[in-house]
Amino acid sequence: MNKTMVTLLSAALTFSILAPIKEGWRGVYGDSFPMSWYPMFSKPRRPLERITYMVGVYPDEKRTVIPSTYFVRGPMNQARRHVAKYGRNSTKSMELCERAAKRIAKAETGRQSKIVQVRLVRGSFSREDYFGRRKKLPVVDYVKAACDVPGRDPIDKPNRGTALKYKKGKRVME
Amino acid sequence: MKRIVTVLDRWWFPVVSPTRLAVIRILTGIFSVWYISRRGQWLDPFERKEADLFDPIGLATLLDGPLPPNTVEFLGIATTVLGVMFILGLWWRLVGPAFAALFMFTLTYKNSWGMLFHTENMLALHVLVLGCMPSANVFALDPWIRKKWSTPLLGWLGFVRGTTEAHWKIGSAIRMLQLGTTLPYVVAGVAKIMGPAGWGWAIGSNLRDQVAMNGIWYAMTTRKVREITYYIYDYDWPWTVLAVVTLIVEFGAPLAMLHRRLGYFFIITVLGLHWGIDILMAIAFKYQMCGLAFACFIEWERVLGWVSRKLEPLRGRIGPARKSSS
Repeated sequence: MNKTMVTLLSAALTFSILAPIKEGWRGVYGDSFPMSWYPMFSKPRRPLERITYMVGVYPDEKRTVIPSTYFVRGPMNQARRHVAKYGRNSTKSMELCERAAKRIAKAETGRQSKIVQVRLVRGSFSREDYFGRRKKLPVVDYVKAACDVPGRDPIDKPNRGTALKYKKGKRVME
Repeated sequence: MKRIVTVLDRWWFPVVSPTRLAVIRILTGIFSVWYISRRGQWLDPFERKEADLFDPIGLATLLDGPLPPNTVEFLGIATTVLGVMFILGLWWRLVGPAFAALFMFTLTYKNSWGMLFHTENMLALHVLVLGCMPSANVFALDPWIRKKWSTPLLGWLGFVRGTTEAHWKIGSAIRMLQLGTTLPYVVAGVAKIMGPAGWGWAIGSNLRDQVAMNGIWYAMTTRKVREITYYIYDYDWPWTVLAVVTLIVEFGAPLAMLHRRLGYFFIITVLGLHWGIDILMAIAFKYQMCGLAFACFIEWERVLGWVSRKLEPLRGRIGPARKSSS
């Protein structure tokens, strides 16, 4: 290997790392591996953050977030993307919901043993409310799937697409 | 003109001891093997159940669909075995490039499930450069084998003879590793200012939004949020300071290649950046946070020389003690 060859290799390495700066060279999804564009930095942020997630519902309609490890694998960002992908399909949404409900049904003591329904929802959160005012409920949740926890008294199940709105820390009935 | 070429030649092809590249090979190799064997534990069961989530990228686009579970298992074992040979510097001409290619493919395949792990980019680039360069001249089994059995067949098979002499090839390999370390930061910086905020990103409101977004995602996925986000969310100045420092570190990263001390300064600042990201966003760039990603800025031959000198008196003390006890 002579110096010309090494110079060419270095130039190729430099070019491939810097290539994603050009819009057309960022890969199929606007990002690739191991040469990345880091699109999360350049994406405009919406006023409300949207995320598909799972909640457990108590008989009094109060809710608690169910960790993704109960129904999908992988670290946070991967789990989030998979749940969002499942949420777009009604059959898959129900499968995921039932998987979480079965897991919750195993709890015999503690708060989880009181959860009667599991819902997969697409929620919209205000960053300002969440971190500025510590109001941790979403502005609105759109139901993707709802299912009863086996062996527990059922409550009314919202249909797919139902909007559950929240205001001042409480659910607003419409 | 000739003088400029000479200066550039000396800078890009510095004559460096093979010890430096060998230490980097061993450190990066150990991290890679640990990382891939850790990941391998969840790759296989994950893919058996969720095949419809396969979104191939990079090299994985060559595949028609997900690999069969047995192949994935084999991939994980083969990468680990080759990784151990990479650390040992065994059968280098074959194992170096083979491990680099397999490691790249395994990580690409792992990234083909709907989520790109930017935390792995630098590691993949470093293994690629190390595997294709003469990184096993010292602290390796190849030179020992070649010395013990001096048959030309071993050379023909791909066992390197190795040399302890400093060479420009080692220096240029170090420079390539430094390129792979610093340029991705420039791309990350450009991505920030090419967003809707432009240079206004330095004000910090975009950074605050991004940290808050990440916090909400964590809260709704794992129920764990970094408490510090609540405390600093309402203030403007911490975000401005963090955003300005981030841009300076990212755009200034290539300067670390110009001088040894600038390199050390870069290591300190970029370590702060990654630890800051972990504290604020719970995103752990493990390879960077442990400092191994920046091993190419350390003159390891000097470090080892210093350690050796410090150990010299200790050897002297141990010597007579042994004699007296016998």
